[in-house]
Amino acid sequence: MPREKKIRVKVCKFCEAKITHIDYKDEKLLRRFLSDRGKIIPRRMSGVCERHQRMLTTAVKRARQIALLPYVSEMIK
Amino acid sequence: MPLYETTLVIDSLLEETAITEKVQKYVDLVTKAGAVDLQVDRRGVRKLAYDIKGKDGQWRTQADYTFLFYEAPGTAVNILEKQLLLDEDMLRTMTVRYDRMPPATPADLNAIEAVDSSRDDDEERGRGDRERVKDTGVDVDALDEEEEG
Repeated sequence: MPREKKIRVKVCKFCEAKITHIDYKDEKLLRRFLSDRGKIIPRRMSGVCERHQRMLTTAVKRARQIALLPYVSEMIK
Repeated sequence: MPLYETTLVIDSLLEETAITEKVQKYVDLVTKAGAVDLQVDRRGVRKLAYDIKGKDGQWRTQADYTFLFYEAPGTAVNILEKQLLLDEDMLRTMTVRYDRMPPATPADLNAIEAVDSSRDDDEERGRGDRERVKDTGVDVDALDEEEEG
């Protein structure tokens, strides 16, 4: 008998919370999607959908430009 | 006219009155150049995520943040940016163009945390994503077929 396949359906947090715009000034929110080194967490790990990941990436890069978020860090959290 | 948001990161070594005057100077400049519906959001002095070198060669660890939100023709932004570039007290500036009005309220962090915590609860109870998808009304059988196909 074939082993039953376990499906893992990833659901985007932003879609569930019905968020349509990610603000680059919202540093607290953006920090949740950065690693300890300050790198953006890939969507295969965070479960964020493609559309929201694109918005998130743009927001993080803008926040880095105005020194709200670090480009690189040893420990940011 | 398009919507723009300009961020001013001003050297916090300046006195409070000097910073206020500087902000007012740029507000007047952009208004004169044709900006309408101008909103000033002054966030005050805050710590920088990385050190920035000031005009005297010393590193700054904190700065004053101000956001200007306005509707203006592109020429107004050019005039403003040119002046900002020449200002040595500006540690960083950035102008963003919006195609449509962003929502007045920022993304609700609590809502995202609620999604996170509901997932943790599900895992504690031994419920996986599959059950949760059932609850949200997504056709799980269709997803099965899609995967097998």
